[in-house]
Amino acid sequence: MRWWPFLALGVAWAVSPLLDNYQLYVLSLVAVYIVFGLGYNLLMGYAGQFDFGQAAFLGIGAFSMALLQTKAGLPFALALPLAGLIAVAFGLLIGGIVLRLEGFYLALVTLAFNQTVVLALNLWKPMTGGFQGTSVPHPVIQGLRDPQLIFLVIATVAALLVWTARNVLASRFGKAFLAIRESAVAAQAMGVHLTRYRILAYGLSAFYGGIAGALLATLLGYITPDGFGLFETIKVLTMIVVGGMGSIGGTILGATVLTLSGELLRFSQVFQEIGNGALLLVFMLLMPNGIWGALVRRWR
Amino acid sequence: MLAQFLINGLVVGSIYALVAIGFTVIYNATETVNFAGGESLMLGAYCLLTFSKLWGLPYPAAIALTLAAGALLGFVVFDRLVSKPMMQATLLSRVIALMGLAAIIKGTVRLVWGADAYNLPAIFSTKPWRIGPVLVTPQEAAIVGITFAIIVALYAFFQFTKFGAAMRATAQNRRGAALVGVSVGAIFAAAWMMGTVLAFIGGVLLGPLLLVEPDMGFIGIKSFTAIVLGGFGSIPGAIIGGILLGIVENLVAGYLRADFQIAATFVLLIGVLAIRPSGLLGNLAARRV
Repeated sequence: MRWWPFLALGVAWAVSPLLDNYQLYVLSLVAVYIVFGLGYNLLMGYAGQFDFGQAAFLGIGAFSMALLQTKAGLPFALALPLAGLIAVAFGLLIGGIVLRLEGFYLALVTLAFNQTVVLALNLWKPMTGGFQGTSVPHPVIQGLRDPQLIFLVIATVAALLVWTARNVLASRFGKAFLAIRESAVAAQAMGVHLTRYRILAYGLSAFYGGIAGALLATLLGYITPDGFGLFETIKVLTMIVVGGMGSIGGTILGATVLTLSGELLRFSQVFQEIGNGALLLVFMLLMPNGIWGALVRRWR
Repeated sequence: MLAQFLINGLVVGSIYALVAIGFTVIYNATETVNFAGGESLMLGAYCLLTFSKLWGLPYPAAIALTLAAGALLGFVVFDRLVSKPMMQATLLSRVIALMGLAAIIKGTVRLVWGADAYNLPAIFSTKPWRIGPVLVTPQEAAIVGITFAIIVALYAFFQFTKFGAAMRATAQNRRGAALVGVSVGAIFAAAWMMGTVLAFIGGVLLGPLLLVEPDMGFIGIKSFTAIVLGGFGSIPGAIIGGILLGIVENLVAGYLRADFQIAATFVLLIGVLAIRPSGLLGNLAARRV
């Protein structure tokens, strides 16, 4: 079943004409957060690198997507991968800075990095519109409803990235990430090039974050810097914690469940904040491997 | 001007230092970095606001009640609910649980008090004295005075009391301390209570200087930065780091731009960790395997 992401994509393509605009929006949002969560899980769940600033990559991707199209006049198809690559540049930068750090030092630096990016986006008014934000163009194809087109684009990219993540994790890269997570020293002793793989993990997760940000910006149509702060990081953290750290299935599960419940609570960001916090605390206390981890253990 | 910036830096810096000492006490005992420490500070300011403005208590009673609330929060929520059940959990799990707790506190405060910012009346007079070229308000003098009084009291506690010595022993070697009869559980509880009360004091002192609002917890990052500057785990380092950070911030705000102030903190934090992870003053920490 290596091809299941494309199977799911086929189903998505087939049912998309039957869905109304809101259903398409919610499903698109789920797909975006699957991509975002996967990148985060790669870094934190697999490679074991503490990161509490993942929303920075989401923001960088989102604003790159907007500005590349509105200011640089690039077409959608070019702006999307480029937005991912710009996020990668930042990922490599932060990965390089934190190379010598471990544990909570990493958490601190990434936390500060997230705030710095939000601050920089807010201060860079001529380009980003400051705290008022900026609007994002979206692709148009004659004969397709816009929400349907956006959904198809997002679902296709998401399926590709899920498939890629699965392959990366099944390769020696994935094994190296796990080895680093379990013990950096032991991994190094076994010949895993620590520096290379850690930077690779940061770059990869930044790419996923950047692409997710670009897709999210396209989906929302309007973005503000403050939408990419700690709240967003906590949200995606909750997704991978509830679903299951270090598993693709868990990420998909968590992103789906949390996005849907987030939609139910969309009237109140405060309840979402409390809910996410409570889920983080309760799962860490009672079910640290998440729902997926608990299910897997039961089956065995 | 320079002298004025230095004085202002010393004032906020001493508050950062207080909170940073709280972090350090918790870290030394439990090896946990309190990622909800900023939110404790914020809650402290809100407690004072509630007790003094809403309940109309006189300031001394309101402050006493606030500090008691801090001790209670530190014991019940931080120690019993989060820290104790997670004693064997990984560092990542503990950090995530505390991030969750921080989100709960922030959300609850928003729910109860709303997103508006409140003004806390000053505890001491804000009519400035002129000392040579600088202006100092009695409130600022009191903040620095209180900070130093607390530092002296803490020093005496750690040096001259048996319980203080037990806390130092636990910081050095938890298992060794337990072997010679130190109740590690009690030390943990005491550390969480002390750390939370120190954060609450920070909130009480900072509340009248800034506006009281749910996002006030970002001060937590400043105290982290102070600790990183001074070297993790060292109380003198936390004090020096806090004051240093306060001064740098005020210089940046004074000579560059006011909205660069918080950016300066982040740049300092990331820069110091990138170049010298053990802090400006710390020794190179041995790598634990």
